[in-house]
Amino acid sequence: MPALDAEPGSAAVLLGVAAEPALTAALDRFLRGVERRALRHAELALGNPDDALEALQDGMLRFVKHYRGKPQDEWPLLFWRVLDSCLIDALRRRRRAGRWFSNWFGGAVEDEPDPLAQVPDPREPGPLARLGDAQASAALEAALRGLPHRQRQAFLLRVWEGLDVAQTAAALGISEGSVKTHLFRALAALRQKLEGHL
Amino acid sequence: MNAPRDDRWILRSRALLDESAARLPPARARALAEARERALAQLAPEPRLGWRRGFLAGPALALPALVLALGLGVLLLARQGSLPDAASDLAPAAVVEDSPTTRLLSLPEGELELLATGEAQDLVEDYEFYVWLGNDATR
Repeated sequence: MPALDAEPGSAAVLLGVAAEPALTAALDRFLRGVERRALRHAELALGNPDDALEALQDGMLRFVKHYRGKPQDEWPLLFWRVLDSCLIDALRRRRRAGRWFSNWFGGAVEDEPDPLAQVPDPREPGPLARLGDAQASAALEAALRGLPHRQRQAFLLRVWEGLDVAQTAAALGISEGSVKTHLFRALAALRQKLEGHL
Repeated sequence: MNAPRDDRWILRSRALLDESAARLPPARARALAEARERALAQLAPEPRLGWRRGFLAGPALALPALVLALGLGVLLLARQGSLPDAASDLAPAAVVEDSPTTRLLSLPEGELELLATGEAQDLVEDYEFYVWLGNDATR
């Protein structure tokens, strides 16, 4: 069975049925290699571990469904692009839920940060806080969670994942200039908060 | 990689992030593996039960259909007189002088057909009366 949504000329299309086991193995290897870091991206963006896992699951499903026929060297950028889209969707859902909640029970101003998003999950001290250097981990966790989404993603993709400016821009769906601006602001905020701790 | 300025805190941050990703609790790692497996399950060939069901059900349905078709064919041929007349086959064994059976077998084809239908049940049950009635009408 040729891969669904596969691009013309892709390995899946050219090899047809015989490509499926190899494609599955390649996707499995790719996802295994990226999933833990992707989960950290989601946890830092969403805070709640269950929401993070759900967003990552959604991202994996979308990636496999729509982009498995793409050349494998394009997979990392596409995966980060899909995951970022899923994280933004989750943040939008949370914001809508926060608006509904505040409209009925609180009457909060719409542009204020969602109060539900600020509530720490009592079950989850934060992955960084699980490490030996508890103080440094907690400081980094708090600082990253305190960044706006675009700044945090620019930092994580550029500094942690090692993408260049153009790749980060493609992964986030923004211009290279925006990446530089977000990264500059993220570094400034993090430096101020972390230099004393790390 | 054209990395940003490698301040000490940036290197430390990267190391902490690496460690946090590597040391997932077992339950979390299992959930992650399950999420990956669910995503890859989309690649499994979809069962096409529709045609398979039809393929398997075909022989089972074909036999009753064949029997029904043969039965209808035989009935049709018998009614058109293509086959040896069952009534005439029975006649030699059943020939008895002036019995109801003899009289039935001696009826014209159209009348026997009329008698064989469900609507003429009363005619069959009270044949003597109708014979009398017919004779009476022709007097």
